[in-house]
Amino acid sequence: MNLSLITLLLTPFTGGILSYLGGKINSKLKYAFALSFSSIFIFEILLYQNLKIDFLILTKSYDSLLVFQINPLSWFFSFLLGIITLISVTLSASEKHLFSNINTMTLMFLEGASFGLFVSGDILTFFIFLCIILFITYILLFEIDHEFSLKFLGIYFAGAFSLFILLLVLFRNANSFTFVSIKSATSSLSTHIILFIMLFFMAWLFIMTTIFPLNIWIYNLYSKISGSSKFMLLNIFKNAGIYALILFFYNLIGLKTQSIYTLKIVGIFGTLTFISSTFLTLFKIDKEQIITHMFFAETGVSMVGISLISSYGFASSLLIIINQLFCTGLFTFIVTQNKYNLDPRDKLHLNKISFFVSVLMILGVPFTIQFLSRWLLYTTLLEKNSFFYVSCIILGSIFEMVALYKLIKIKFSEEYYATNLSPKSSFIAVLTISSSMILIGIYPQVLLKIIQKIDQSINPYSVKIQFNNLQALNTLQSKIIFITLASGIFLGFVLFTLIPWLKKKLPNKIILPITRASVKLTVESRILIRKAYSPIFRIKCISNSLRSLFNSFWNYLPLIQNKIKIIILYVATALALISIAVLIILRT
Amino acid sequence: MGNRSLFLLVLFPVIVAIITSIIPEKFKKYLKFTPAFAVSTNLLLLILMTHLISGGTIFIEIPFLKLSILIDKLSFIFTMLITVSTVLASISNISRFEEESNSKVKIINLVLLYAGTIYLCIAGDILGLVIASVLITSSIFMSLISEKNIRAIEAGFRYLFIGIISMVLLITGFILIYKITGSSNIFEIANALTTTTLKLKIFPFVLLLSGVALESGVFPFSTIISEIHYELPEILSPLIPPAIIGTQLYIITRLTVSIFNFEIFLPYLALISILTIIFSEILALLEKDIKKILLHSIYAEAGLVLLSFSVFSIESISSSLLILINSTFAVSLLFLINNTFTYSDNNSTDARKNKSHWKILIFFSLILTLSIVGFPPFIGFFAKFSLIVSLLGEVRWKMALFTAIVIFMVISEGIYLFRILGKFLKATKEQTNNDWYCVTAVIIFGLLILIFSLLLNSLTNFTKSASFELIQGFKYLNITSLKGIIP
Repeated sequence: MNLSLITLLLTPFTGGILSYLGGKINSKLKYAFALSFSSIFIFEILLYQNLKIDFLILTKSYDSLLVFQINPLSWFFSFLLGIITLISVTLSASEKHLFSNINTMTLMFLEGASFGLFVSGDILTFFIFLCIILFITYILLFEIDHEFSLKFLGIYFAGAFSLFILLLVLFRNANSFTFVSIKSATSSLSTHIILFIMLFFMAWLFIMTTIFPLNIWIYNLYSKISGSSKFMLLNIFKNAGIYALILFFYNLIGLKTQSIYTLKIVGIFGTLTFISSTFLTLFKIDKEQIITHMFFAETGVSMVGISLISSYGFASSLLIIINQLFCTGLFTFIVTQNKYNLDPRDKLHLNKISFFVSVLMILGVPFTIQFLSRWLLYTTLLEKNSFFYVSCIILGSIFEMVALYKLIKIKFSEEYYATNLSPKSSFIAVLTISSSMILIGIYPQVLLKIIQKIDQSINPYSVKIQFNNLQALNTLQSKIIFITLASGIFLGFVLFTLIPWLKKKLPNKIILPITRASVKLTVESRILIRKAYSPIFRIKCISNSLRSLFNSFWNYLPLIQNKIKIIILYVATALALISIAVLIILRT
Repeated sequence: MGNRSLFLLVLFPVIVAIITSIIPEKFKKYLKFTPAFAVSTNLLLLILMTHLISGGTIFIEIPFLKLSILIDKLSFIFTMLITVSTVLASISNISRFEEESNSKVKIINLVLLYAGTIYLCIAGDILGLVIASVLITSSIFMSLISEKNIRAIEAGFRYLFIGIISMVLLITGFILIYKITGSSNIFEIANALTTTTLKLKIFPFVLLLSGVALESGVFPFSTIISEIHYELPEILSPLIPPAIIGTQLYIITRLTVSIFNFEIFLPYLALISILTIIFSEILALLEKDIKKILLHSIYAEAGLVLLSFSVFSIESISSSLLILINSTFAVSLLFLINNTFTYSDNNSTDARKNKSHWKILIFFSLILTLSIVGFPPFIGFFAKFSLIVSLLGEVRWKMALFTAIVIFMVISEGIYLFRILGKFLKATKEQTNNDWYCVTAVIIFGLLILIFSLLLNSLTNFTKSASFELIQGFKYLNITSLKGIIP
């Protein structure tokens, strides 16, 4: 029995209670407790970095209820959880007026409950902690609105219900709840029971990770939630789902014929999620909604990675999760600052730079985690001749680029009428996230080693990822990398320095027509979006907008007088072409 | 402590009720503490005898009166449930006793009801059972007619009619049993009935069961009795789950297993309980009044207790006891919270104080709602879960049907209890009771649920040993040495 696991579990709960009590005295004390305890949690997790398997049996009832087990996979997700909570707590400092003492406490409790879920060694403990997460989420959202909170709980509870049935079926067949016993029992299960189990698991997974078609309407629920809570919830639900997916297919059921086919279905739905979410971003004008959709989209791609049952695909999906975590965190920081903050301290334009970094991260330019993950994914897909996935992901990537362009546009239209603001508290956070993103992107070997260890521990067909290949790719693509980086830097220069400078210097004669044109375009697009929302015109408008999207590259280009748009469209097209070129090179 | 002093469990509340009735006017200000004092003393007595119960069953007899007391683990659970609930209900009503005009009558009724229910759970002979039933019926009738509300008085007389029918059925049943067995002691009755033919014992059993079912909210009598329970004064409403429904469940359990040992009846019990659950849940879903919803909810929970009891394994009976503990405490507390919100409508209150009260009430309402529904990690989940686990060993159709019933119950309870929670949330902070007695009772009740959830293993062990004893019946007891403590 190892008590350090229980210490780990109790750390967030203690932190939560102390931050609540501290908040009664002083709000600074509240954040001090919350930040320090979430940092302590990360530190404690790092002590487990040797990735040894560890057990803790708390009580014995119903054949070993409450077994905790830490292994490389749960360690990885727990470590991510620590980072998620740290970012979320820091974010909550920017939303002081929205965040009461109870909310900070519930954020910390959520961390504790999620950790319990990741280290649970039996399916009953897993289910109990899942329900505790839902209960804490309900309390977290309680202050927004009871009805809303109930709706949120209801949707995820429906998923938990199917997990409960799965739990009972597994218990009836394995006569135990522990993962070890279930794993040994599943080898003798009949085909129809395995299919039955998979059906219920998939029902839960679809709700938990918000896969297509749920992503089309669940995003609405997230639009009401504050930035920090949304960031925490999105990441926790998704990570819990993906953790369970890996655990279930690679470990519990094993890679049988049925599970391979089910994973293929997961892959197809992941792709559909990616395309549908990125496509929906074209109709959104709200930054937060665009970010939420992009989050769902990337979740879809990580599903594709897991479904490929190869070391490369697995590594790519875990890398996407990390990239997603950092990018969403950064985006949420920037959006939150713009929304609530009134403290003009951003003299270093850190806000803009971090925004630009996260845009590059999502685009997947070389020397970023996203580039590495996409490269690993495309390599695996092309090896398997899965052109359907490749074409879908490229199409989705193009939509994503347009979404990013929209984000930049919204960001800069804000620049014209509002000063971009950054609080003192999040200054360090933004800097740390951006720099760590760049560092991991440049030197991904450490991360890959961890992922390889996880892969080796769960995948019987594990293959070592060749670092030489990556280096070779870097040499081969040096020109492309150079061009992309140069164009990125140039784009950044144009966006952040040249245009504001020109705006000041140039006479109104030139500036006014550009502004008018952009305003006109915005108004037109808004009308189009409103039409698209009405049920009668929806189908018509979607087809129109699709057509207009393709036409915009050719017909509308000379008509647009806004130079920023022209540059961004050129770069977006260039990046799309580059990614296709990379694929062709890889294929040959 | 002499074993005969255990009669104090019944006698002490009765003595307190008598003293209350003759107390001089100048001591009136101390009257409000009387029920809490009487029941707390009993609670202390019960806590002191916990080690005796864990050692075995207690049986004491007064020869010249032919009255006896039987306390085994099952009756201990019921006694504790009733006592703890009554202590908390008495504490929460202290300020109400102070304010209301006819508080003396209400106090006497409350104490007598408690004495009756506790006697019913520990009675070791049929005469005791009848006396306890009379005590319960009369105290409920008195509390209804002492209300200044014409509907309550009407309900009181309606209840008198039902009570009389129920009493007649019970007494006839007991007379028939006495005639068959020649004894009033339930040990001897149980022993004699093992050799009796089915034809002889089926009729008294049906009579007794009908008498009990009439007052217990079991299908098809729930609609009749719900109107009477609805009109009960707010002081007594938190006692409906433990004292009124709980005692009826106790008698059904005792009759079916310990006395008659009627395993043949279990499928019919399952059918009745399924009908009760479906009927009560549908009625609760259709209702809009919170008190009525809670009443139907407790009838449905009683149905679930009987359903899990009808599976008749140690695991399922243990789960039925867990369900009973959970639902009794949780619904009682919801009654209390509901009274708190409606009670203070006409009171001028301190808003700053109310804010913290409101938060406490809402927090515990949420915990209780989740516990009743069966949401982990609260006791309600483990109770329902152990029932489902025990069903996994049954035949497939039975497992599927019972699980479907439990699922239906969870969903419908989720719907109407969260609706109630929404109504509590809409109650403004100014409508919250400014009374610390009441809030303290709510906190203790809520903490009890949390403590039970934390100490689940010990609780499960106790309920399992209680169910083991129940399944064994009185077979393991040495009938010849009835006096004193039987190991």
